[in-house]
Amino acid sequence: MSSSTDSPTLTTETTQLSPQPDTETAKPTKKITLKSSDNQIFEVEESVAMEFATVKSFFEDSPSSTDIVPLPNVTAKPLSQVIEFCKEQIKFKANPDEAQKKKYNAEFLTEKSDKDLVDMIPVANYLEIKDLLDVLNQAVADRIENKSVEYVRNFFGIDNDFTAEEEAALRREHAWAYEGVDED
Amino acid sequence: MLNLIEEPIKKTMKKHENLAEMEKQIKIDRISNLPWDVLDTILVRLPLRDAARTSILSSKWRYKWTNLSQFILNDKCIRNFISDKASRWIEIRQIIDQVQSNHNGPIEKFKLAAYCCPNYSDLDQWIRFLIEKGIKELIIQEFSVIKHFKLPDSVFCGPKLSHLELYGCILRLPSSFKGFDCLKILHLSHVLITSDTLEHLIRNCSVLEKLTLLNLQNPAHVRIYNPNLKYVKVDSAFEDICLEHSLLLASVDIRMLPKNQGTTLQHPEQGKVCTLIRVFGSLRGINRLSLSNQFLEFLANKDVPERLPTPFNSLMALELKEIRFASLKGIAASISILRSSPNLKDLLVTVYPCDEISKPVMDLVTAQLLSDFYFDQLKVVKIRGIIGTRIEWEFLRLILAHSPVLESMTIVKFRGERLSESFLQEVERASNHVKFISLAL
Repeated sequence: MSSSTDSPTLTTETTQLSPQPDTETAKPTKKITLKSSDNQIFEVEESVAMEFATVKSFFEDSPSSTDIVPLPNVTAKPLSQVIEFCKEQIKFKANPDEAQKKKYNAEFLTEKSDKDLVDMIPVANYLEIKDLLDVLNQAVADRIENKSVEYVRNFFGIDNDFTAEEEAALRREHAWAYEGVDED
Repeated sequence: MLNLIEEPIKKTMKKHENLAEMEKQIKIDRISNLPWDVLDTILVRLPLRDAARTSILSSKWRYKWTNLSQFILNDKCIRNFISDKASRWIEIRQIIDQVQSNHNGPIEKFKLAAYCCPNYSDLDQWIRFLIEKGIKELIIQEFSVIKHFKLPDSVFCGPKLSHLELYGCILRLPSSFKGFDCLKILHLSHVLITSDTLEHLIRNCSVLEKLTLLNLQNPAHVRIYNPNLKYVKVDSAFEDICLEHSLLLASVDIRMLPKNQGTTLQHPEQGKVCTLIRVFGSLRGINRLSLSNQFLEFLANKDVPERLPTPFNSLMALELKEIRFASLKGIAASISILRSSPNLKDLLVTVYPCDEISKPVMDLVTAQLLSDFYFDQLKVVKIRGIIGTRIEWEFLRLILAHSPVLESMTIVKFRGERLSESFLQEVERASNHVKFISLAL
């Protein structure tokens, strides 16, 4: 925008009419404080926090807020991993390099445990980080493809509430789905 | 940088206790209660049988797989030991029955690619269901056809379709058909359709980009009038073809098959102009072109011009298929296209083996040897299936003598010994850096 440098008088007027919210003064070093559900505090650069659509809209709704942003559905460990991912994505946004980005994403996912991946999905969903959710969903699908029901239950931490008879009946109903499953 | 602000020690201790407690407990299920769209995006990335197995994870998962937004039914959805085609369809039908009785959202994509013999009333009913579900990609690939299947009219009233691929059906447009507003990809294979229906259908897809027509039965005329088309592939029998109004075409691949009844080739739009000029004269943007010998013969119905009035300046890759070196028309059209392609980089010629030597073809090729045109950009040439006749040899010499920047020439011989590289090195050529790759089949 040119108006801010064109005429000092105009700037003063604008300021008088509506004070500039802090978030729009694009200071690269501005930090945002996030609090996880287990009460850990994370200070992240504003650009990283704005990758989280949920946090972004928090500031859009209350632009002058300087409060700590509470994230009641998010625990510290997956949050720290999500922040780590988004920090790298911002670098790729500034310097697009598809090959490097793919490489980074692949490494980021490979080194995570099954539990880490699964725990990050609800976080990425709650914070509305679409790119991360996409790669997580793909990574999870890759890890459970061709796996047995028991393996997938354990992978997701799902409690089986079927009786043995119910389960056997369902297996018979979908007999076609149980061919070619990998050994656990 | 991640800054963890130190917490009071007491708090940290408490947290560690909690964590230890959590480890002791069974893992927390963070997945089952996620919103459906998140679970759907995980499950659609799996083969359907993997998704179907989730039905016994727990009671919450009982029907999740039947609510997917995409269903791809292939041979893995049918138990291995079932070989009878009708019984294989029954397996497929059981799956679609379960989906139909439980699905309560939209379905975006359906693909059937399984060896089976569908019951047509099942298929009809299923397609109607998909259209009601707002299907965007409807793909029905090869199955066993006994007689053609009449598509339900509702397909043509499904305004959301962006990709339509059909196999083995009768395609008639209902009078209510107003066109497909979102259709980008249309693929028809073994479809029974008339010339007029085909023309009307193609004309009324306002954003169509990719059109594939395989083994159609049996429209006499393939008239393609669509201003947005970028890619056309035709591999079918036809008497005439019109492409000239699709000015954005970038890739054209046409293989003409002989008519079933052995009817003689007709040129319904008889005019003074050579068909080559009529069909390709206005298509300046083509960058990939692939043509079969029979189609080249069809194009060469009148006096073939030395080159097209407007050259193919964008053409980078040319493939000439099933070339018969005894066919004067085929070779004349090939040479005319070659001479109209000043920026060609890649040339692939597959030869239909033929011992016959035609004097007029020989004269045509040797006459070209003396002319002063050059393929200034031609880098890679592959010629497959030669048997070593003199005429093939003259054609190779023609390319070598007129391609100053040629980098590699691959020659695949069909019968007998491969051509020796030292022999090839003796041939006069315009480029000093040709690498010969000589193979035999």
